[in-house]
Amino acid sequence: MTDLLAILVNAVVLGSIYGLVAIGMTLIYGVLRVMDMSQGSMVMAGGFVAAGLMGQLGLPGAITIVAAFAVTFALGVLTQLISVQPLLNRKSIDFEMVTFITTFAVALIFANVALEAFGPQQRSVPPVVEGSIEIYNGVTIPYQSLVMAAVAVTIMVGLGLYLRRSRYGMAIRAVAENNSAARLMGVPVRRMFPLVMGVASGFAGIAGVFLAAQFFASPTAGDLPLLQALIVVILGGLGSMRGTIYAAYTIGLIQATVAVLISTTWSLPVLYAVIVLVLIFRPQGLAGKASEARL
Amino acid sequence: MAEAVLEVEGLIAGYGETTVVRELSLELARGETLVVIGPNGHGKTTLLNAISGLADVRAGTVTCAGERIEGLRAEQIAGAGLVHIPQGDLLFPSLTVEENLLMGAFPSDSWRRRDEALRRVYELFPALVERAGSESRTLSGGERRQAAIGRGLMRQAEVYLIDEPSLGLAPVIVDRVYEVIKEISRTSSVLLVEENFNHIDAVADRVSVLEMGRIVRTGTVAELTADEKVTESYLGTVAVEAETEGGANDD
Repeated sequence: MTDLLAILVNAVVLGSIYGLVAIGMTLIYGVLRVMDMSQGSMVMAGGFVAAGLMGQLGLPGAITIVAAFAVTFALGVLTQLISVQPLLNRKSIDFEMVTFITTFAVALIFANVALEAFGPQQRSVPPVVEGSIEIYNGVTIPYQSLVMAAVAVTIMVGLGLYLRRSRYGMAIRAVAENNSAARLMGVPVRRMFPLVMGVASGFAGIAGVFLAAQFFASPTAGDLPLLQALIVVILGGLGSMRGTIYAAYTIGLIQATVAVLISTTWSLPVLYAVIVLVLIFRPQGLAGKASEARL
Repeated sequence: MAEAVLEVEGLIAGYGETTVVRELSLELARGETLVVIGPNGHGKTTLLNAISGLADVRAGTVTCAGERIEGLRAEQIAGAGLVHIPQGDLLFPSLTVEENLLMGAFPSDSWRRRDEALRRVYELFPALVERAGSESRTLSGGERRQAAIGRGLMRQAEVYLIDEPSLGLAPVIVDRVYEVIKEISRTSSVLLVEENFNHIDAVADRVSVLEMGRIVRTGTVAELTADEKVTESYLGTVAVEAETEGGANDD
């Protein structure tokens, strides 16, 4: 019972944070066909915002989260304008491959700027919320994890509703499915792209605040989250919102199960083995559909 | 002739390196329905794409309601009182039929009147009502065409460009579609593209023949069907009936 509860709680917490980083990558891929390798930098940047505002200035978590969103939103827009916008509608290039590289290049620049500005050391960051609660004998959960899961779920649900219900949300899905037709409807596609990348980056920035509080802020803090988000996005079926969320929680569950029942050392190897197996049998990912079905 | 609402002058257009439309000129009068017929691959679709901003315009001018629109992006032109209902329908496959229709009303002035527009489209195409909540990928060809035309009607426009609305449809649905086009033409100007004379008799004020990227003939349906050179290539059922009475060869 204790094990089961521990597994479930950890699965939800892990899955939520994976989901939060990956959902942005999915949104970007769905709309722009860009596998945005700069999303790890956004996690890293969010971590430094947390180190500065919560760590040094002692500001509350809520303000820090809003600030991290704002900073990484701006960085996301900048990244889009530098590494994606100039390549739109260019003839005879492999757009997906070229932008994979240009966004990766931008990520390297961000990492080096951070290294130059803040140094290589890991900074510890106080939790967004202090304290923890024992939910069953021996199973305790930090408030920070609860808040993290709640924020992630709220963002994912909110994004889902926005995409279904609002005029611009519907337009984002329309652009993801048929760019030309969306333009014929009067959707300002070119203006929408930087905003989409900004918002997605903002989500990663928020994830960065929580991850920094759990681990550290450092110039390389985004590397592992980027890798994990990539795995989630691919396992979910590129560009599928629903698939991304399934994949995030599936991965969270596998990792938590192995960590609780065997040991944390084995959780990643087992996870990767499962992913390879899944992709051998379902190369299109968990919810991957034909190419026209996006978001 | 009434004042022109759409004027195309010396248009050269295509995609990338390929030029499809070569020095094409035409004029659409306010309230008029002009049908452009011509063989596949000669530039009918490219003409419409060039007007609406989807193809590359290399030279020439396009004037819509007094505004020069050539070289603008499609999303800007869409806001300038022009609706293009493309060939192949170009619906958004995983959006529902109703969401597809709503996207047709995306510009903010039409968005405010979307409920009214939706009601009108459902009146014109009752078949869409029961499919409203279905993803448009699940529609039949006929339903898809009706949804595409309905989506175009969600936005009030002075000029409607309609690309081969009868293509691949069962005759009953073609009739329905053409009734709706007739309805559109009562209040707006229509530039319609078709492969031949088959269905256009009831809607066309004038017909132009487009070959090799140029307009080679323009006239009324009666004038053009009286011309053997034209009927040889574009003989449709309407023309056949008219001609057999006059004792021309059938088949």
